[in-house]
Amino acid sequence: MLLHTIRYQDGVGWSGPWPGGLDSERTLAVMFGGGTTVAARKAVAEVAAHLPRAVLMGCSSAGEICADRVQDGGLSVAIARFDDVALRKAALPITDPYQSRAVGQQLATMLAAPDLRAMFVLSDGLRVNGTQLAAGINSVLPDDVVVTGGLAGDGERFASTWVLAEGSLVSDWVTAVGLYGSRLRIGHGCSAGWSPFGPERRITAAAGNVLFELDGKPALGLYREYLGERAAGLPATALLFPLSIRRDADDAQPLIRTILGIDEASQSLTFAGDVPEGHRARLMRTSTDRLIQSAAVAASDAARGFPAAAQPLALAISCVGRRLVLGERTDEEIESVLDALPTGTGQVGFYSYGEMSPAAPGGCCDLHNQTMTVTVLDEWPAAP
Amino acid sequence: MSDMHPLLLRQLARLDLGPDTHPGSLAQWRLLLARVSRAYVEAEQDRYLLERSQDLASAELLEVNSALEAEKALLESRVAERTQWLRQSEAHLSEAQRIATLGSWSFDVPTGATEWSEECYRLFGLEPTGAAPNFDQVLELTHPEDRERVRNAIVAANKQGANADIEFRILRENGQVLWLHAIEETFTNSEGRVILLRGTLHDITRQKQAELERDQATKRLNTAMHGSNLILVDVDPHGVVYLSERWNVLLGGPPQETYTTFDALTALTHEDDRDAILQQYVDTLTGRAAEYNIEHRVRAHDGTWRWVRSRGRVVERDAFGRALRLAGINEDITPRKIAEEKLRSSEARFRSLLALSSDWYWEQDEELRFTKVSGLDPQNHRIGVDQLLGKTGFEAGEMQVDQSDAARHRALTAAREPFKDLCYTTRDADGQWRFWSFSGEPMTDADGRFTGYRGIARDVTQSRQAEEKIRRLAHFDELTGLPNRTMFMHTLQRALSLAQRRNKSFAIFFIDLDRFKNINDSLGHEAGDQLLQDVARRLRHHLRESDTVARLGGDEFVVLVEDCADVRELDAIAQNILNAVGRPYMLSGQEYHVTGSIGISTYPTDGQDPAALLKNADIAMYMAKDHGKNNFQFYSPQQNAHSFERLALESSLRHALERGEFMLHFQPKVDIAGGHIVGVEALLRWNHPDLQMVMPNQFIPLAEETGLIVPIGRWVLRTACAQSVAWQREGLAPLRIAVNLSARQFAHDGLLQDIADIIDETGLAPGGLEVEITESMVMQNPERAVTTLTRLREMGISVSIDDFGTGYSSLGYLKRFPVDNVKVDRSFIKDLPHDQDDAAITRAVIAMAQSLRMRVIAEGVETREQLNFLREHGCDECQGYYLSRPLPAGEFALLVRSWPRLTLAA
Repeated sequence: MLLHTIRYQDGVGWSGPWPGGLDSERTLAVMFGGGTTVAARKAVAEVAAHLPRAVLMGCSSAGEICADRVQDGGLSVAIARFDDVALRKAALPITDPYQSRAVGQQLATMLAAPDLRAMFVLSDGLRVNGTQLAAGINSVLPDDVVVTGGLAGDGERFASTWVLAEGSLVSDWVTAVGLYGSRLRIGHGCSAGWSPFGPERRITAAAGNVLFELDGKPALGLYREYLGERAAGLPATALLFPLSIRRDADDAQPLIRTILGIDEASQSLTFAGDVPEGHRARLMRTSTDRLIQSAAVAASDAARGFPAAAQPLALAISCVGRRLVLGERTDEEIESVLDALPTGTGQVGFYSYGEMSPAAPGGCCDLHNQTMTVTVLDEWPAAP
Repeated sequence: MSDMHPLLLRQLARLDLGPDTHPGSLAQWRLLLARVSRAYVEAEQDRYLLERSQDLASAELLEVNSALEAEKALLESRVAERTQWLRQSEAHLSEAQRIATLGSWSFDVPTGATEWSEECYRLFGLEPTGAAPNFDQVLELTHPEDRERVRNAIVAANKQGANADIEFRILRENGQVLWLHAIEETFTNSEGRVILLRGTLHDITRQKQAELERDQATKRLNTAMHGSNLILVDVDPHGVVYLSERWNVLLGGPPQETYTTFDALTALTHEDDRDAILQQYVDTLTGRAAEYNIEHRVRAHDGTWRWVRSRGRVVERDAFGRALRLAGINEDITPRKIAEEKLRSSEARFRSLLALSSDWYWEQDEELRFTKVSGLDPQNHRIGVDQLLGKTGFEAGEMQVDQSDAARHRALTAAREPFKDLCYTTRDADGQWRFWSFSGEPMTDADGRFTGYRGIARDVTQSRQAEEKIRRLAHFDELTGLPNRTMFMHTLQRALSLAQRRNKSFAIFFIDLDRFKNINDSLGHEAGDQLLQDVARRLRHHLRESDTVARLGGDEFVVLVEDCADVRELDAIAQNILNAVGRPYMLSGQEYHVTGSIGISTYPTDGQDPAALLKNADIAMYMAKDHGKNNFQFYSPQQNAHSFERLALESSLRHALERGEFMLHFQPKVDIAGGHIVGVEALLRWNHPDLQMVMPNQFIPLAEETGLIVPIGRWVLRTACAQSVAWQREGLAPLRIAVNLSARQFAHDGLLQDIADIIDETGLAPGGLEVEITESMVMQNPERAVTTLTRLREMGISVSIDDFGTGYSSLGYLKRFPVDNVKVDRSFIKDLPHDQDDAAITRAVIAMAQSLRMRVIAEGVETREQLNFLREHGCDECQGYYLSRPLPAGEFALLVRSWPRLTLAA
């Protein structure tokens, strides 16, 4: 596998010259851009011009990860030319979050094949129910296909996101690329770094992603009570105190749900993902240090099985919520990921509105909030 | 300093500091402080949250605790209530003991504490206020004759930790003797030592006296009854039944007297006999009957039934006439009953066998006249006993010996031999033949003289008829009565041999109905069957006597025409068949049109054996279908090749959907007056990997036939809707998108749900969808079509009639359907404006459609003249190559963006 990473900054241009020999039908170019599409559109067009035959995947972000740093408003690009791994892209429009499951099923059906090893998904960040999208994909693909990806971001604005489909930047689409062949080596990790506090309570009233009651008590009241003086900063501080939910007491892998908003009238909390009735929920807290450490955990999980001398592509997808908490320490999270990967790793990624990854190795893909997910891939050496 | 926290090390590294380098500048120092401060703040916040959640948890714990306290108080008040209730029930117990003359006592061995209930004191005639007597004192009060027995029993029980059960007498101070029944339970500790004695004392004096009296009476009676087989029965006023010793013998035990109760005795009695016995007892007791006298069954010890005859009467009544004592005799009558039962059951078995079977029994005298007939049910057998008695089988006018069996019958009866399964026939009142199987044997009297015959006869009509039917079924089709495939192949083989010998030729017509499946699906199987029968009738009627018509199965018929070499003659026959089949049918009260497709193969040109000839006629039939149905085709070897192609096509069609080989092309519909694009028709294309682009007319009929049209149609709908939405998202103005429905799709039950789902999934506004159907699809089942079209309109979807003018072309009729647009078929547009007929038709369609408030769309517009003609006559929209050929989605979008509005200006 031949790997090259390059980034573009508005007003500065490309970080280096474009090497030749990268374009082929087995070339995957992954790129993440800023929210303002004018600069991004121009840069994407240049990438497409350099790589007429390659499969292009990309989306808007709440911060582009390139190597060990975060930038905004540009484009971070990784180009991987595989020797043996075959690629196929699929893209579908989505007009209503209600269609998410069907779109997931359709995409997976379009890409499914006996030698499909992995599927990388980039989706519109505002019009898609990521939980249902993942469920739709899972319902079609066998467990041994690694599915990762994320929902596009739009800075901290939550106004409009784009993905790269049909050669242009479009809203309301879901895209995916399938990676085929036995030589694909792939690892993934997903880690949050949040700690629960307070007792675990049962979700007794909820609808979709709106939570009304915990243990029969109004959710917002209970939430405030636990936050105490720190509740004064609501709703902004809600970002610092997400909820962990899990199906029942023996469901070992809890999901984190970030709070998007609160409603005083109905005493409810709105989350960036479903909060089903009957699930158990617990408050979470974190510190910047814990977040930075957890990012390294996700990276070392993903790099397990890769030799130190490998030069793989790492796709790091973190949550916009983490970036808001980390502030000026965001770079440290990226740095700690890269530190845990083989020295020759080429890293790109983005801050997203939702991460898609199995919670643990071998599991099914799920939608997460507030996690760092890392996908590492390259090709096994060819048999002599 | 190397044991510093890795996070601090990382912070230092970011400031270009190490454990051994101090800040070089104030700025650096301040940054470091800022980071350390932040760590402190975070730690403090963390601690705050933890402490707070602990506080809350403690508060919740307190809440739970106080809830538990309240619970405890509630429980305590319940316990108090219970205690009160127990006290009351103790008082009730004492009262109950008094009434039952039953006392209870206990003795605690280690402490020697004795407790007597009030009733115990009363039984011994003691004052309940005094201390309870000890064991020795109790023995003092015991009857001297029983004292030793009581002491031994109690001592033995206490020693062994066992329970005691003893009856004994006590002597009260006033000299009264009471019989007591004592039950003692002993309780031991884990080492086996007796620690508690507890028991009851029951006054049984009255029972005891009765018992003694009874014993004496029994003794006397037994003496009297001894040795007799009779059983004495004596029922006393308490309901105690005494039975003398033979009773137990009857039940299968040793001679022994029995005391029992009336209920226990009833339980022994056979269920079927109980009601009768009870009735007789009641009648006797109440004086309605002087005595009871009944035969009934009782269950012996081994579970078998014994027959008993019971007789008896009331021997003692009180002043009011109420029965006090009942006495009687029971007698074992089992042996007699067994003999009777055997006789009855063998007769019943014979009768029931006769009743179960269609057999009947007969006897004849020495002149073979029927003297006895039984089991002959005139209802079933349609022949009366009177018609037979006194006549011989040969004389009975209604019954005749089957000719083939007559001689054998005469010979056997003359020789006085048994005979078996000889056939007689009768004729029913309605003239139907019946068949009888007779079997008989000679009878002789005690001296061995022949007295006649006896035997059984059986109605074998049904099995005779079934045999006949099976013979027919093997060769004929049950539904139409035509020869079936087997029979036809025989006939064909025979014709082939004949033709070979005589050097002649013959032809096979393979006929398949064109829309049979639709009829079956929409009108049901009954109508389908009726149609097949009608077709069979017509074929038979319209062909020569010498031609063979057969039904191969389903809607496939075949005709064998022998002695016919002239192709023109075959043409005429085929046309004749088409005409006959094509005339309307009345099915379920409605007129239906069905056509047929015919394939013809001839011998010797098209095959040398029956299978090849039939196969080639079949292939030719498929060619006829391909040629638009309702026609006939002669077989040619090229067709054979073609049919393989067709198979291959069918196979790849099955995979086309999953392999994504279908695509849609889009052709604009243009408003003639305004010149702008108002709609688009989605047209299906098959990008076959080997054949490249296959046009719909090449594969849609095949897809219809195989049913693949339904999933394909669904794909077309979904893709077209999704494309329309995608265009709008790209910024194109919304265009109404038209999708063609196939006949099968239109008749499919899931159509409306499919459309609703697809609209839902893709997010297309329903007003943006239009479906195109042909007239014939509507006419196939007009009632259903009205329902479907109305539902579509309710959903906001518009409906167009496609290819108008090629079918029924009745606008007046169409008026009855909720239709929005009419599309004039391209065949009328093609020769416009020069062909006068086409021009007249087109003008008429436009005028009429507009009067019905339908929009008119002209298809296949290829020239400026055609367009001008249409504009002049007020046609609303048009589509065709003159405007644009069908385009892939991307090109279509470009076309719309670059559409010059004035293209259509004259």
